[in-house]
Amino acid sequence: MLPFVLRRLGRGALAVATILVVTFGLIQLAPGDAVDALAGAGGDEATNDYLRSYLQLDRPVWEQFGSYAYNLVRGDLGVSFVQGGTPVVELIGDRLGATLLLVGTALALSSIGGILLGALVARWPFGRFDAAVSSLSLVAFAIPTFWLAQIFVLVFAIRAGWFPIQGMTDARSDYTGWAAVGDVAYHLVLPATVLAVSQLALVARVTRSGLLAEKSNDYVRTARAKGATERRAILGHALPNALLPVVTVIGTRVGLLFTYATVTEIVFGWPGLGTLLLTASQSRDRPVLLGLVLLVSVSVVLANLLTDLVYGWIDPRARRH
Amino acid sequence: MPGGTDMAGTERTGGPGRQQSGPRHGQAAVAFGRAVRTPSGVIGVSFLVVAIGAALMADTIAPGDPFASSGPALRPPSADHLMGTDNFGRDIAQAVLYGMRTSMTIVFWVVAMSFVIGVAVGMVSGYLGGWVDDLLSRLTEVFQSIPLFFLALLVVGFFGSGVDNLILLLGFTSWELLARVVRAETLSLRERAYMEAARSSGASTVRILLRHVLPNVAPTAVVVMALVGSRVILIEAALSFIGLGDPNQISLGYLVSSAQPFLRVAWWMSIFPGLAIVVAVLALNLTGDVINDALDPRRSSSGRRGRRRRSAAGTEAVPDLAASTQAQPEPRNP
Repeated sequence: MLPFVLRRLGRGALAVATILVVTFGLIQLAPGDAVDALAGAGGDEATNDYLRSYLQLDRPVWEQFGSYAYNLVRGDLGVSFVQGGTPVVELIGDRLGATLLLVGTALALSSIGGILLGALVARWPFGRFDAAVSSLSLVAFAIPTFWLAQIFVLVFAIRAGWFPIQGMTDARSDYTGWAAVGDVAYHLVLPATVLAVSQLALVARVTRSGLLAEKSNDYVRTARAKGATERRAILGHALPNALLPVVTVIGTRVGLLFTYATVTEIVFGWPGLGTLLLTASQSRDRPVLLGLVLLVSVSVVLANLLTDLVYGWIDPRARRH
Repeated sequence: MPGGTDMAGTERTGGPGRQQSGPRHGQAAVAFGRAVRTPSGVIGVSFLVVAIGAALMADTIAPGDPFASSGPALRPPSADHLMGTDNFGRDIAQAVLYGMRTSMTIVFWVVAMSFVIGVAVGMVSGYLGGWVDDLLSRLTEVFQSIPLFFLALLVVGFFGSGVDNLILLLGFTSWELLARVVRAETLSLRERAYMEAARSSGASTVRILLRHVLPNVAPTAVVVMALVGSRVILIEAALSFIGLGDPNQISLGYLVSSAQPFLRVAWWMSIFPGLAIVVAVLALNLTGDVINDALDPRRSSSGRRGRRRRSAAGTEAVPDLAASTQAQPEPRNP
């Protein structure tokens, strides 16, 4: 197991390093820099030169990259070019919680809900229920998340008035303790559901096909023969084996979930990384952007690694690759 | 039950002579005809016709500048304005047509680019093997783990948001799925007897790849391209939704985002452009399914028989592929 883990870790580090170099290179290649964005059209040459040397933009590229990488190893992501020199770690840290809460809730919702739905469908396959779920999931894959978010706002917040339209907390009241938790949970319902929908459809689908493949195996028949109920035969015996591909699907979709979270946050005014990303990319705030891309890449690589490890742990055959 | 020789089949192959010369094509036509006639086939192909028709004929159906005002602002759908008007009095129906044109143009070029790159990388990687394969596989892996949307955000944010930038970016980054599938396909082709024959008769590697491997991987590649296309539509829509689309071209994502402040008063501003995106994505996904079914009726998603996904294609690592095709294992055992 250890060589397998080390091999996977090595690959992950390689991927992150490549992404870092590519991103840095891209930003370097782009016309204009942060000074142009900061000073606008009216800045005079002397101020611009001063700003460039202050932000160390006048140094050779490899030197800039070297110092960035050196600081990175020490856990320092630099300071924002634009937002008054605030450390990037601080900017990201302030908003990371909200995004993680949203993504985490959606992940839990879609994994549990998807597996249950898939198991239900696999219980009565090829019927009307199966056809309905399968058509719905096709549509779910085709709906852009930001539009689904708007529909949810239209239907459940504006028309029905069941949920708040925007934000993470109610600005007019000053809740503490459990009331505050409840308030956030109340605001979380719509965005988390929107974010979970397409993932849920996918998980349900993979669970269904996995279960159908497992259901015909001898050990499931044995379970039934010794008197297990159909429900127990499926949930207790077939499901654990059918979960392998489900784990993969959940793990490999973390990057996409972050992507969808960005647009969902924008529609719902959720105070997470999405809006930070938006302002940073508009003002060419290189340290913030690099930090964000790095964060997302590392999460994706870690999620893949974790998936591989879980897979290797469950299924020894996977360790050989 | 599926065997490709029913009544409708013999009609379509165009007589016995043709069947002799190319039985494979005849069967493909039969299978395609059958796959199109399933409900999802009908929906998919008609959506595709609508989407492409809208893209090609936008200026014939609705001539004029889609950015120009054409009536009172924020009017609900009516006979004059089928999808209503927006806050500037622009006709939404016209904007949706031109938005479809933008989306389809981008999809066309991106898919063409990723076809060239993906098929080349996949074939070379699978056929040559060894260190070349290792290198290209690592490269593919890196492109797979880059969150495309975030990279796109960086590039568009820095290089400006023209349609050409978007096409280049998405084209250079969307080939990884295609490369993996083609590589797996090539690996299995490499050991076939006719490949051995071609090699021993002294054919060059390039010739073998172009004349013997390419025609065999092309059908699968077409299916994957449909999926890549639908993914590209969604990414382009998301980018223009957050304001990073081409400001000189109307796009569907931009229309949805401009509806955001008016959700309370003008639902039609959001509904119709969003529906257009769904139609375009469904068109590509379902058509991909139809082609997939036609290629191998035994694996038909609508067929009575169980379907095995081509495990060599490594689809288990490609949830999008597994997701968008109806292809799932369905053993019919009790």
